[in-house]
Amino acid sequence: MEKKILVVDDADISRMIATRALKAAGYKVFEATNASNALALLDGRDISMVVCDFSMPGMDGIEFVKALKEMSQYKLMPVLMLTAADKQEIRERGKKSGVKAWMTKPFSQPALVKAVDKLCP
Amino acid sequence: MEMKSDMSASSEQAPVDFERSLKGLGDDGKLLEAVAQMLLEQITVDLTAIQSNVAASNSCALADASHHLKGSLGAIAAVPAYLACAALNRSARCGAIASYLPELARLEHELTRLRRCLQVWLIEQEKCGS
Repeated sequence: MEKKILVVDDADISRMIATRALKAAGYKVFEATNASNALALLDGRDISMVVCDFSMPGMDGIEFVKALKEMSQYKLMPVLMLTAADKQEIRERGKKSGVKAWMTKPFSQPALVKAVDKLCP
Repeated sequence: MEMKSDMSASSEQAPVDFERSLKGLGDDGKLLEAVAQMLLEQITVDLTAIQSNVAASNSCALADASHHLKGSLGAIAAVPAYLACAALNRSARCGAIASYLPELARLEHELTRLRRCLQVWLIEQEKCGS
């Protein structure tokens, strides 16, 4: 069965790069430009994993993960967080919220696919 | 792609390292063309927002606009413009208003070089494809 990934990023170019790489690797990809859209998109789509940018207007990536993990059906969903600011403090917050892995922007397509392959059940 | 290793890059550096950009995009030339097109459009939109936020000394909106452009520039190895944008973004986040104008001038200069470079490259790609 085709695995479904939700890519959440307000930056159009990064989102396009991630989406294209994941589609080429055989994933079905859904896209959201912010956390609220992402939460709405998750409903009933049987998403396997989320790839999310940390820095977004409104709810940031970690707040989004917290909201996600509060819903029992998504408690175990793997999340890969993308960030341009590679700071330990952000990673600590993310870890507490349930972020499984991190990737620093700009990322390469092969590295993203490798990380998603590893995390996607 | 990794910008951090090039933090000392001079403004004389090529506006884009196409070889490195291509590698980061999995050697997908068509994707690099699409990214270059999108980036040209994004630069126009974001630079207009940045200029008006500098004029209004609106640090919060300037931080958002420069963050957005920085993210787009980071998608390919456009190192000099990325670093100029990152500097303006840092100043905006600290509210260092006195730095805005010189940093904006540097960013405008780098974006002019970048735009020219991307436009020439896209024309070359089109010629190669036809």
